Amino acid sequence: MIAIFGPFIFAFLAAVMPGKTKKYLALAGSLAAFLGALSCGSFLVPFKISVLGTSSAFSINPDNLSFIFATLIGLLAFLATFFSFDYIKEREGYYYGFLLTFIGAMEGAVLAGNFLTLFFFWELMTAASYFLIIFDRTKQAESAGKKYFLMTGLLSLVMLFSIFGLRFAPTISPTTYNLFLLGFLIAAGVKAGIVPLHSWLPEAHPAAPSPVSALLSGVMIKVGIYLLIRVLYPLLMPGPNWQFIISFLGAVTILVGVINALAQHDLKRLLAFHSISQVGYIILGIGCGTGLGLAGGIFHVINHALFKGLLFLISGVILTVYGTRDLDKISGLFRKLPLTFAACLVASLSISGIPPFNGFASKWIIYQALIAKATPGAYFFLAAAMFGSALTLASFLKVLAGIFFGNFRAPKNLVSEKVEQGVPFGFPLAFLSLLCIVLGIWPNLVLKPFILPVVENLFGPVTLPGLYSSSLATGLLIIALLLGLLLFFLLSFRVRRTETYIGGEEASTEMAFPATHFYKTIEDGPLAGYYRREAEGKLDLYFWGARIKNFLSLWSTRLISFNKK
Amino acid sequence: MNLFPLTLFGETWRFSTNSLSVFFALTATLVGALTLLWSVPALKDEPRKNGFYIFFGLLWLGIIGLLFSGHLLLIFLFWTMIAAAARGFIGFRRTEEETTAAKLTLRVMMAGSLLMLLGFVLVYFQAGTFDLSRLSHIPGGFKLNHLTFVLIALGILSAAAIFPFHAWLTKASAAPAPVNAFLNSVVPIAGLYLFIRLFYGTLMPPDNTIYLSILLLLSSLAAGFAALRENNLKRLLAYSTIGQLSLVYFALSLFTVWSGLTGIAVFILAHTLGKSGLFLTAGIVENQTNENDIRKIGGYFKSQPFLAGLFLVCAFSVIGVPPFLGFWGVDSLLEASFVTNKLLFGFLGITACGLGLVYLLRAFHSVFLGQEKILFRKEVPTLFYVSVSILAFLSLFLGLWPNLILRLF
Repeated sequence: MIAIFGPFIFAFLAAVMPGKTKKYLALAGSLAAFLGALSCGSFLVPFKISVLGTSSAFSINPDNLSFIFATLIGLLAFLATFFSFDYIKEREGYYYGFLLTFIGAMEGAVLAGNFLTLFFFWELMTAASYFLIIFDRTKQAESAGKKYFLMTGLLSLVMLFSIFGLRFAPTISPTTYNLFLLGFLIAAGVKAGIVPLHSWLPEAHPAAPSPVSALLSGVMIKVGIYLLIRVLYPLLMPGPNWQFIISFLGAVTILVGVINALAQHDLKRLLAFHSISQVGYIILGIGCGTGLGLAGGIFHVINHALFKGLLFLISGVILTVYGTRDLDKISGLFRKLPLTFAACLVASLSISGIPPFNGFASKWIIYQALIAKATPGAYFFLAAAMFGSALTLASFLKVLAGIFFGNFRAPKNLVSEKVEQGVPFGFPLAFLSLLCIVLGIWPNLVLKPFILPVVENLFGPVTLPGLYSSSLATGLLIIALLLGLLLFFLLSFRVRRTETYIGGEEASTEMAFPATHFYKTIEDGPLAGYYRREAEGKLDLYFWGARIKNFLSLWSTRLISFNKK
Repeated sequence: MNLFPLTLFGETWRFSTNSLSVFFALTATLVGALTLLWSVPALKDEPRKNGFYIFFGLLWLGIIGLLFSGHLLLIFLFWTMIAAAARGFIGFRRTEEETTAAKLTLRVMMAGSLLMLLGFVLVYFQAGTFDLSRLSHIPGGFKLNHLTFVLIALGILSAAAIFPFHAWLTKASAAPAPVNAFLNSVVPIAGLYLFIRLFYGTLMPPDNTIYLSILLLLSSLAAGFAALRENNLKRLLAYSTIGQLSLVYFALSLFTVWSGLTGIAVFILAHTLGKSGLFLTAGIVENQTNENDIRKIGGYFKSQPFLAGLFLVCAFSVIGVPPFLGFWGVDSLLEASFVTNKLLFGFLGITACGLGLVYLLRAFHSVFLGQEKILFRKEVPTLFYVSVSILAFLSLFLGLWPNLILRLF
């Protein structure tokens, strides 16, 4: 209860109170969300069918699945609110009020005791985040917000069909079962950004202020995943056909997300496409229909929240310091922002699934689940997932190299780089990076006490066959790195360092060659047609939806107004 | 219970009551009174305001009379009275545009009532009586044939502003806001009540009436989509009325939803409260800016946050967002559709909700958010706020404690 109503009360206070107190009230509100979620741990009920009832009374009933999500939301909400101190600064306005409403609504959605309560908080979450997305009031932000609101708000209504169906239908026949499952899949899918319902994501994430993007991508799309797990697992146990469809959607989502990410020049848009792709891994895990897959999916939810939250906060630092998100224009920030570079390195390696970071730990479990299924489909999905992982690494090399390496080019108005050393920026970055590493080395910290109980309640005991001793491997890796550094320093006196020359002339910043240009081959390659259509919006469901709507409303108006014009 | 039995031409012309008519009469009177309260300051400087009050009274009397009629000819009489009073009510300012709309209203409604009379006469020839209580006591029920059913249904639908008989309602949106509030929220009660009173229990509809359902469905969707591109605020709300009413008639036209009748009553109550609240809010904006085009007004959230809140509450209640009153209506309608395994209807109900959400939020967005375009001219009279607040408060309060209403039936 504290987790939900704490933020609402503070949201009200933050909206009413003047000036400086606002941000401290906001911080207190998000802390209340986190602590409230943690305190749920003391009176949890085991994961079971009856938790999400279909009555229409208001009810809150956390179990240990909602506990995982609620704590994650609380943690990231606290860090993002703290980060907002230096990011939003003077132009706060209604920002903190809506931020807290958003946080409270997310907590409400995952702690809800029945579907109607969940639905209520779900739409409240959509409304509050709409106002956060359009916070900058630019034209682009307004149109992104509208697209977001219409797509997620309206397609979520399909969920009502399934909710009422489950509540009132006297019996569930195979047809109605499929319809109800489809209804939930559409509603959860549009929130989670499953292809082809993903097109709001690459517009809304870049438009929102960075801490809000971190929350949108880190936890809000996970509320969609939460709903999917909730309806799939105890309630509408999917058969092999549905498992295949869901896994297939997951694999497509991975590939579409990452292929689009490769061609992006806008940092936050690139990250948004990676969110889509990472959600694909989660869906793939959930779609397995086995304990191992579900455990991997839930674990990847946690890990993705950590590293993607971190990446969006990093983009916030860069945007604050450099004033742009365009990868063609940023370069050489390594010496200016060393702490941000370190955090970005950790996050990039995590998202690409490089051991010993946390992204690897959860992807590894999902791979194992696919291998254990041993169907031809599963092997195909495994290949898609691994291919996606490689492309993710390729795409993040562009980010790392483009932003941090190369010659530094000063933008028009560079904000002091000292900002990253301030507590509001520094603490969330350091804390999330640390968590990424810790969970990578010791995945059992969350796997054993929190995730496995959820899964084992449904599928019986789960063994993790391939879980390697990552602390030993990490130890060896660290020793190797130290040796490498030692060698580097021992030998560095022999290396000659000179200025960079191009064609006999000293390399000036105008000649510099942004890292994005190395990806031109991909953009112009066999997929060029795909990228062009994507850019024109031809592959966007929203584009076609808007066309159909315009057509229908035009003809309805002609029909109903007896007007020949 | 029978009131004032009067024997004329060998028939007992009686009034009768039932729980539904009492409920609707209470609703009509409450909302009518609040509309009147609103009109007092609005029409202070109107030279022909006496016409407004007289025709308001006649219209209200016609509705109440209809709700308590127990005889087909009495129903026809009051139905005609509603038509005549609506003509005067819409055209009370005698401007050209409003007079045209008023004349159209009279023609459509009178034509409808004559068709209805024809239907009643056909019933009389078959059953030998106009008395509803005697008709309902015919063993096995009195089965209508298709012709009679269509005549009576057309009579009802013409005054209920269902496509293709809706033009009078959209044209009437030129009239002042209280006129529209009353026409869009209270007057439809008469038609709905009559439909339930006649076809649920008294006269049995013919077996296959799918043509009526299709017409109503088309009407609902067309009105919803047309509202998406309408820029005149009052006409947009009128389209919303057409869409919502068609949906209710659609539910009723399936003739299977006995368990959902309570839900329909709640839905109608929510519509009556919410829609009159919306029209009166739109009226406040119109009163202050003399402008109805939502592209030309905007940004009143900053100066009038309370007004914006009232608009939102009424809009949410009309659409059926939990926890507002309209939600319980939608809830029961969907229950009826799922229990009877009419999944398509459930899906369409949700589609209509979605359309409603879009066009009402679009109206909210352009009236209250963005840049303030035309400033409010003067202080808003307190009575405006009082009546709209009561309507919005009831929409929320009854939504939070729906048992206060559901227990009535």
